[in-house]
Amino acid sequence: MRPSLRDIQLLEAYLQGQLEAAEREEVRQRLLLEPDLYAQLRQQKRTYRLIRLSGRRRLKRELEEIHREFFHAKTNLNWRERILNYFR
Amino acid sequence: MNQTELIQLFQQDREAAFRRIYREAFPKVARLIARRNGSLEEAKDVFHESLITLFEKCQTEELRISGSVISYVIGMCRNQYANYLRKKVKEINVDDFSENEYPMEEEEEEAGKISLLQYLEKAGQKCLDLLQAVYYFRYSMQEVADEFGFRTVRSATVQKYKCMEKVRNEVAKKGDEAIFA
Repeated sequence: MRPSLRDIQLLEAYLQGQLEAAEREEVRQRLLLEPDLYAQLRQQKRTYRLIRLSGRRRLKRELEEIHREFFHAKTNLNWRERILNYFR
Repeated sequence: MNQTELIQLFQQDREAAFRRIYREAFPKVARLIARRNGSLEEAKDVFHESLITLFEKCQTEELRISGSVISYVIGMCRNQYANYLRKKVKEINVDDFSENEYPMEEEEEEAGKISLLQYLEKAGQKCLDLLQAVYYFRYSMQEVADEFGFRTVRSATVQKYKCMEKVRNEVAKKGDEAIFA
């Protein structure tokens, strides 16, 4: 693997707490000495958050689809009526 | 349905799990929200939020449901709707601008993230899907290799880091623009 990819792997292990004490210390020192690596760490964290957000959006779309389907299926008329009645 | 069955069903067929919970729990949640003078739209939103939280808790194994999953979901919705109402009341009561600043910023940041995400969805759907599979849906690297057509776990792993790099660089480049645009 290229060095840049190895760094991503290393930062991931660091963030997930998977490194041995000595390795962790080494990463900490590199983060202090290499501003680029530190910037990458922050961006990588943001990327994980972004991926989580995109996962949530996917689930939301799936749930919207189920909702639409349940409310429009002819076989679900009782189910739908029951719900609509609560809001009348 | 108990917790073990739920986790199993989520692993086998997520949508089937959602459908099953939907059919059984949504009418009960709708009744609960209607009794508190909420709308159908609010019931749906609260329900969807709760199911997403439920799914995430199953993924990270931080779930301790002693009884039925359906009761648990109804409880989650009740709490979430109470939180939602508290927030709504706060928003109405705050006419002091100084206090209003923080929530605004949060909203803007959220909007920035979503516009960045929409860009990524167009520019690199395949990478985003792969990263989602690994980090959100917690596929094993073997499953990722099968699903995305890599011959070995090793090459799937390399691809994972390549995708991480690609998206991270977009985050670095576009992130600030999107947020402050």
